[in-house]
Amino acid sequence: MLLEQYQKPLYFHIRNIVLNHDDADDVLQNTFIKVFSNVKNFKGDSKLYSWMYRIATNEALTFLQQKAKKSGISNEELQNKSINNLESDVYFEGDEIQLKLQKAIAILPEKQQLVFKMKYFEEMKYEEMSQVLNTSVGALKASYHIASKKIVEFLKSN
Amino acid sequence: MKDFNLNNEKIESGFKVPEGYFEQFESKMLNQLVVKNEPKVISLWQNKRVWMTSIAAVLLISIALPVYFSMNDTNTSIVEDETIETYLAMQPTMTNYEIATELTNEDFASLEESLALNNDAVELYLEENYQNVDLYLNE
Repeated sequence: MLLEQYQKPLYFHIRNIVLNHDDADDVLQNTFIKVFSNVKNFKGDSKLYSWMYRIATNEALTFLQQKAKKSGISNEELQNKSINNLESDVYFEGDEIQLKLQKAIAILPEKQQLVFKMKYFEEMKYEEMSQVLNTSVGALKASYHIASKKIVEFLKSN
Repeated sequence: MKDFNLNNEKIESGFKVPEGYFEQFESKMLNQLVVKNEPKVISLWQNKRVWMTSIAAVLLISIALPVYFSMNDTNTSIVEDETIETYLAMQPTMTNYEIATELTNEDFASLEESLALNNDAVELYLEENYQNVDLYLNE
C-alpha cells in the first residue's frame, strides 16, 4: 500500500529538511493528505514516487518558511536554531561528527542543501532527483560536487 | 581530519524516530483518511421536507387552478332573480319603501298583471283585514 511503502523514505526526506521530529510528523501528515486528495488528478506524466517526493519537498520548505515568518526570523536563523536544538534532541543520535555535518550543510544555499541531502543521506539516483527537483542531471551533479567540496572544507577547518 | 573524505567515511544523518512511530502513523493516517472519505450523511428529514414541500405545492396548484378558472367563468356570474329576491327579503337594512322606490312603472304594470290586482281585489283585501275601511276609502 502507498502509505506503508512510502512513509519511511518520505519521513526521512522531510526530516532531513526540517530536522525536528515533531515538525517532520506534521509535514508528513500534510503530505499524505495532499497525496490522497490529489491522487485522482495524478496524470502519470512522472512517476508516482517522484510526484510524492515533490509534494513532500514543497510541504517541508513551505513549512519552514511559515515557521520562520511566525517567529519573525530568517530561514537561515531558523535552521541554525534547529541545529543547536539537535544537541538536546532525544531523537537525534548526537554524534559530534553528525552535528558538525548538519552545521556544514547549513552554510549551503537551499538548493545545494537539498541536492546534498537527497544524494548523500537518502542515496537517491540523479535521474530520480532530476524528476523530483525538475533539474537536469548535469546540473544536479555539479551542485552535489560543489556542495561536497564546501562541506569537506568546513569539516576540515572546524 | 586532513584526509577526510565524505565517501570513504559515510556519516549517517543521525535522525531517529520514537518507537513504533511508523506503525502508529499508519493507523493515525488511515483514521484521518477514513473520516475524510466518509460519505456525506443526508438526514431523512431533509429528504422528507423536499417531498412534503413538493406535495404541498402540487395540492396548492390543484386547488388554486379550478378556483382561478371558475372565477373567470362568465356563466356563473349571472345571478338568478330568485337569489336577488331572497337576498333583498333577508336584508334587514332595506325597507319595503326603499325597494319600492327602485321599481319603475313597467315593474308596477307587470306586477299588477302577475298579481291580478284590481279594485275589487283591493277592496276585498281591505275589508277582510282592516275594520276601519272608510278611512282608506277617503284617502
